[in-house]
Amino acid sequence: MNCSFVNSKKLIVSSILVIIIIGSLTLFAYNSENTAMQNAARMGMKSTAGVMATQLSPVDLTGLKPGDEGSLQYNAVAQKLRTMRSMDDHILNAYILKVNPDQTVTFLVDDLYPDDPQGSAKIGEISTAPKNDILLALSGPTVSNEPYTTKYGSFMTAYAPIDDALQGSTGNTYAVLAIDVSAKDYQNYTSQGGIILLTGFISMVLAVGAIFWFGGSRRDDEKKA
Amino acid sequence: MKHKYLILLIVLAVCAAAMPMAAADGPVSPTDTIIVPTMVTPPTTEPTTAPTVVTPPTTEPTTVPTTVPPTVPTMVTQPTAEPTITLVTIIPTAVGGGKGWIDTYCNVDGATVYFDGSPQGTISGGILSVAVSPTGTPVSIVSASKSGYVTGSTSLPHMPQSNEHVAVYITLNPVPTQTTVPPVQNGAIYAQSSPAGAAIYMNGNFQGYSPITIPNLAPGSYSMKASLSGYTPDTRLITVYAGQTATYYPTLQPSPPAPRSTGTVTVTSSPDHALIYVDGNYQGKAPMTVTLYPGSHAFRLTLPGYSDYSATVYVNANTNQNLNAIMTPAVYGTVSITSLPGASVFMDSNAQGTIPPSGVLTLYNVPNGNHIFKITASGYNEWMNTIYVQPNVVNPINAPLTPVGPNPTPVPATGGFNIVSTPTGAEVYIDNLFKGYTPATLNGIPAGSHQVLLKYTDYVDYSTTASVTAGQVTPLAISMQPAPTPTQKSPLSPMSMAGAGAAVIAIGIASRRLQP
Repeated sequence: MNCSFVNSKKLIVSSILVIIIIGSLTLFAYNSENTAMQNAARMGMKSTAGVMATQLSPVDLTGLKPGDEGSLQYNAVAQKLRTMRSMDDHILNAYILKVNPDQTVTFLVDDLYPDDPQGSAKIGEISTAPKNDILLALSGPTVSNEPYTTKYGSFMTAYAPIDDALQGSTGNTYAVLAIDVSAKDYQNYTSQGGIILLTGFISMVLAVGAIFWFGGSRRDDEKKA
Repeated sequence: MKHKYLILLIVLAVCAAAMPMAAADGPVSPTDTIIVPTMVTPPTTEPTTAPTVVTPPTTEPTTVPTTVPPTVPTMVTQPTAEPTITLVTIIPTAVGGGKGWIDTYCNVDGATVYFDGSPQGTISGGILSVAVSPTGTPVSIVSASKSGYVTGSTSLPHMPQSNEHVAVYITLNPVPTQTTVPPVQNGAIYAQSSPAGAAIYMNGNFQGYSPITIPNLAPGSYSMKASLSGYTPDTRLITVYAGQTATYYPTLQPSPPAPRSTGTVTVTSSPDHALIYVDGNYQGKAPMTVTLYPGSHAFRLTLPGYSDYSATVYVNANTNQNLNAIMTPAVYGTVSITSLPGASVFMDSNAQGTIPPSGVLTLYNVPNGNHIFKITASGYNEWMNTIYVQPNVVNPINAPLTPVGPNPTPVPATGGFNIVSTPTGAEVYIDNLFKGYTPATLNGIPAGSHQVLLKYTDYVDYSTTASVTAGQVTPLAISMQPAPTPTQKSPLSPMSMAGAGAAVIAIGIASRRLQP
């Protein structure tokens, strides 16, 4: 009787240990997977924005003022932005922001304007995206910390400075290029660790089942002996 | 004993008789109206401009109205506790034809009330009631003032009739105090990098070299960057508070080593200032040092009036090599131009003469290289082209001139596509060139076959070859198919895991059962 009780206790303790170990490892793998996917997506967005920003010159933007939407100069920049972002279908929008001396952030060029004047940002419209990300982009490429929502939708956005070196300065930033990716796409892409959870759960069930199965067989053998 | 009852009856009778009197003279209950004696102006012996009918002053107390105005406008501030309202009746100097009252309600106790600029008393308990004669000097403006408040005034609707109360309401507002907005105090940022000497940028603009103080900054967040050659730039947000100096102490980390080693080639030319091309890319003017990855690189130096200098240099890692290009004068070639006799010939915008009657003009000693030739003749269209003149050979140029005439009707050599798709908004590519979004009418497409590609997010790319007929628009209606949902691929599928587990269990059971 005592021997049977002790054996049952060992089986239960072993099962709990197995559940804890496999569960911890599964969660660790799941979190690592998601973090890695997020970092990969963010790095990709930053790189894309950075490369696109190098293709823009402040010369193309100088002199744009409210009301110039649809002008030849504006359309030329918008077309350039559209051409660049057409390399990736996930980029929904490319636009240029200007950080003013009073720290306000306003739109300068929106590549959607030629096709959708009503649904796109006008020159001088204040951006409601998280400002710190945009301010940081004055110093180098950056990306939103997390998806955010404005009146235009929910996005993850990468930013990169448009250098005015072509104007003979010492590498000052003239404006900030931004590219939007749908927040839903971003979350779908960075949440693919479900298979890990399923695998961990199945492993847990199999391991616990094996423990009880072999434990029961051993007791039978001992009884027979 | 009878006397006692008799005495008791008498006492009771006396008490019964005394009770009504006691009730009449009893204390005033809170609900009773308070009767205040009227302030009486003593009669004066001096003649007054009294009205025709003069009511002699009386020494009898004047009974004030027994009803207090039931409603008070909300604009008059009501005290929280029910005040004991003291009605003061002031008899004006000219009183006649009975009495009326002007009740002035005001939200500020102590405010002085004026009738047409003449003080009448002060507000107490939110009201001042002044008795006036209906036939006396009419009052038109009632005003109230008090130090610290803006004087308020209102018109009297009408003079009260005898025993009538006319209420006026005046609200006094405090004199607005000028709120002085303190000036926004600026802050500053002190930047000191480690190592020192880094270029400091604020909001993307170069400020100077570390250490540096950036003064006069409005409170807020600023994007700071420290950049130093050989080190990875540091960027971060610094918050500036009013009147404080925020610090920015970036510690720069050495840049990771370059992925590949490089070597250098110092290029000189004789004479100087030859243009240097390496692997076809312009680098600058000699002399200069070019940094290149290890391996073979093609150098070409050009200088006007000299022949191009070409050399292949094998660059070794971490070494410097010298390349001295001795430029030799250009070798000349000969150009033979066939065109309309009499036409003028220009080379690089310089006149070279006219085509002789033979129709062939020969130019000697033309430096080798590219030259722009232009041939013009009156009544003919201009001919212009760039010709590469090879040295030491005769370079033939055939330049037929076409007469200028009325423009013939152009025969359209192009056509177009009219593309619609389901869904709309698909990207349209013609021969792999982006042309727009559906629905789209694309004109100016050369006649012939073209590859048409439609792309739309989450739909399968649609590609086809379609023909364009000159002068016609070819319609294309394309229905795109949704892309199948990609299946997640995992290196270790659950089924394989389950199979492996089952296998392990089976092996275990078998080993147990087969034990002797």
